This record gives sequence, C-alpha cells and structure tokens, in this order.
Amino acid sequence: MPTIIANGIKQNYELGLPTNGDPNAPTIVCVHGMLIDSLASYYFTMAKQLRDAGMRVLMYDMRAHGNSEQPESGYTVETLVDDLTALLGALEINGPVYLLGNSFGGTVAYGFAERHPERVAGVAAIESEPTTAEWAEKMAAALHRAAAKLGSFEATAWLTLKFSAHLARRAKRAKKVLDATTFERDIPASRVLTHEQFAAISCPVLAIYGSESELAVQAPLLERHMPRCTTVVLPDLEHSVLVEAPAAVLDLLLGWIAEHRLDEIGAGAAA
Amino acid sequence: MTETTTDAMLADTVPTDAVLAEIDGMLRGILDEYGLDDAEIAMETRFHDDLELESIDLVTLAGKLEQRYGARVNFAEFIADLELEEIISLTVGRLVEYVAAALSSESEA
Repeated sequence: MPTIIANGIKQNYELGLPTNGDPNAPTIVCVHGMLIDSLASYYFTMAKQLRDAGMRVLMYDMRAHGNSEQPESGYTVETLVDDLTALLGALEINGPVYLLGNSFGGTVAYGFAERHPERVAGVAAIESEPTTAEWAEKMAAALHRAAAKLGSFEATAWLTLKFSAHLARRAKRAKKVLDATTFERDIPASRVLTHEQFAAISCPVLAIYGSESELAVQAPLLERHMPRCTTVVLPDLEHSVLVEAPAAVLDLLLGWIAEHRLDEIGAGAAA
Repeated sequence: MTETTTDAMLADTVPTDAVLAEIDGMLRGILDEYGLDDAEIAMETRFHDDLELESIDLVTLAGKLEQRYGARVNFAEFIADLELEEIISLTVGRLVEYVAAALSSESEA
C-alpha cells in the first residue's frame, strides 16, 4: 500500500481504478471508523465491488489508524478533515467526490461536506451523525470509559468472548493510541454544528442505520434539516451494518449514486 | 528466484512448496516491522491466530502478491468470495493453494 505525506503526516492509502478503465469514472472516498478500524474494513467488503460498478475508489487510514502515522496531537474532526483535504490535493483528486463514511468516518465525511461543499458530489454515511454538542458529550464519556477500561485482562477477555480475539486485539491497540496521543481530549473538543446548521450539508446525503442501533432515532432529524437527505433504516441490524450487511449497503449506495448522476446529467442537459 | 523456482513456474502445475517459500518471504517482511520475523510459517499457520496479523496487514500482503505476480493472481477476487470472519481465520495454506492454482491455470493458457 502506498503512503504519501499530506497535511504534514504520512498517510497510508489504496487507490483502485474502475475495472472498466473509464477515465471519467466518479471517485468515491471511503472513510473508516474510530480507533478499532482501518481501510481494511472497506478493502474486504466494498472496494472490488465498487470498482466493478465503474467507480474509482480511494481508501485511506486516518492518523493513528492502520498504517498511517500516529502523531501525538491533531485529532479534532476539523484536523481530520484537513488531513483528507490535503490527501485529495496530494493525489490530485480535485473534482467533486462521493464520500462513504462508516460510523465516525461518517462524522468526518459530514464535516468535510460542511466545509467544502464544492468538493462533494454526495455523502453516504453508515450508522453516523455530524458533530453536535450531544455527540461531543457522548464521545467524551465513551472515550473516557475506553481509556479507563481497555487493555485490562477483564476487558480483553470480555471482548474476545462477546466478539472475537481479532476485535480484542484491535481494542488493545486502541488503548495504546489513547495513551500516546491527545485523541481522547481532542475529539469532544471538535467544532460542533447545531441542527439548523445541518442545512449547510447541501449535497445529496444517504444516511443508513441499523434498526436496533441507538443511532437510528437520528434519521428523522437528518431528514428534517439536511435539504437533500434520504435515510434508510435496515431491519434487525445494530451498529455493525457495514460488516454485517455489505451487499445491502452496496445496493443502496449504487442505486443512490445512479439516481443522482442521472439528475446531474438532466440538469446539465437543461442548462 | 532460484532456477528450480523458475522451472516450477513454467511447469503445468506449480508445486505448492515453491509458492509457500515466496509467501513465507512476504510474510517475514511484514512481521519484521513488528519485530516478529522468527515466527514459524507452514501451511497450517493461521494469519490471525498464529502470526497475529491484523486485517490491515492482509491488505499489505495483497500489495506484495500483486507486485510479485501481477494480474495472474487476483487477491481481490479471492477474498471477494469470503466472509470477513473467513478472511480473518485464513491459513497460509489456503492462500498458497489459491496462488498455485492461479499460476498453474495461467501457464496452461
């Protein structure tokens, strides 16, 4: 996997060309989740399928995740948005891109869309929400608990039993990140939006939730405040929608992209 | 690459121990980054349970496979048919067999 220096840090990424070789293919940027995630979760679920569907696919590791650099500081959502902006610039990906964000990755995607609307063709967010005061409070509590409990023998044993040894190991790595960086402090200190300010996310938005997840209640809020938002709540799924139902996500995603590209072509023809 | 390996690559069926040797080298490169390059690697070795590789390391391995074998070995296609949990419990042997088969069918063409 190549790396590139952008925003002053070494960023690990994978850039996959569309299988059909189309030089005008739209680009989709995949943004992974928090602490226990990396570009691997997209690599093993969506990447090839998206390329076969005619898209150029950029996946990358956020700072302190996967194989990217782990600087001591710089973990507010706005800095993570800067990291992505710089990465796109360094890779000369300048036109509007689709953003696909999973969980915290969706929060970063919303942040990017709010600050750089001209660079975004659409945001597809799985089990996610933009930065808000409530989100910041929730994150502060969750990260504090994680910092206090992860890495202990009991936590590792519990995670192994409830999920897998694989997850337990990633949780140990998460604890190392929390100990070695300002992550816990920075995340809840990120710039937040009011619900009214969601209106600044004016691009097409596809927000996917699992019905059994506590985030699913957000769906009506997003639809009310974001001007072009479609929400889908998938039955019998909790937070891990991407990993549990990748085919359903892919189907929704490709349908939504096709719909919006047709709209654009129509608008272009009418102009 | 030794002469024996070259001959093996040109034969109709590619012996798995030639492929295992190549993949062993790739894995040691990855493990070296973690200071663990003296691990035992055999066909039954499991990437996650035995070598403690994370899924991100499998992505690095995919890159090395592509560099070494090019389009002949399509790791992306191989894993596209597997569930995430199957990918995590993959053995070296399963990958070796896939690569050997992919190379063999290439040379028959």
